[in-house]
Amino acid sequence: MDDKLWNVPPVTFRFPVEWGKCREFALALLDEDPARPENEEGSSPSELPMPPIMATCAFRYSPDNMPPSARLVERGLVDRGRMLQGGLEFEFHRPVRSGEDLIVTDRLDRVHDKETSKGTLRFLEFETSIRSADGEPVCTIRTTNIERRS
Amino acid sequence: MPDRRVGPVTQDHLIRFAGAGGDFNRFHYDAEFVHSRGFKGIFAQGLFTAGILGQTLVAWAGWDMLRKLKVRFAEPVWLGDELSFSAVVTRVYTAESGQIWADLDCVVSSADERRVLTGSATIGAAA
Repeated sequence: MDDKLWNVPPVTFRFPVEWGKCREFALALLDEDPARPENEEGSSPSELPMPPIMATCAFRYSPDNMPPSARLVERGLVDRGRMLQGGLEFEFHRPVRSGEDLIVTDRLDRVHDKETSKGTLRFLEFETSIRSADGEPVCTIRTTNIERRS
Repeated sequence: MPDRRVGPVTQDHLIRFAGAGGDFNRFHYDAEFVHSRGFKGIFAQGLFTAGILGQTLVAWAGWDMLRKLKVRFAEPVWLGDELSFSAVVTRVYTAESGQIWADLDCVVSSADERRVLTGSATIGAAA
């Protein structure tokens, strides 16, 4: 195992949940009614729900504009051309609307290798923790990337 | 959840999603690169498929009702694939918060009967 993987520090940054990004995401995900809350009593047309998957793209607001896996690629610790997404796990502690200002921390959580008939696969597990400005948990994401090592 | 059919998946879909999500990995638009890496063609971002599943779940259950979503990308979604999104309730229970929650098994299949994504979800009101 390459210990240099663990030298990459966690990254914490601000994640403003923008109305336009929520709508762009919903449309890109073929949502037929991205402005759905406008039809609900008492909700403001100025707010949209954050599409659940949009939380994974909070990295676009990080100082280096990189998902955690790309930080390893940039340091030469992982070959991007050999890496695929293996799985993804979300826990939504509460819903998120546009207009919120959240705090994100990305970190590498676990690394393990597995020997298969197709060679060695490396499983890289990342955790993204999203909280409100006052520290309330909002969403936790666990992402697994798989690198073909041989 | 009523089944939902989407597709065929086009290059336009993947480019639009790349713009929204920021995943400009060449697997999703560069055929020459993809072939050089041993794949038969361009395939969709995993998050594209997972994201449509997420939108389908919240459109059905309510936008604020999704508590958990777990997905495994079992096989690539190729350009031209037509996809079917389905989810069935496997358990209904009272969560620690006292709210009624339901667990679902989720599957996204292609028209040629490949299971491209499998997963699970939990829906219910937040505490």
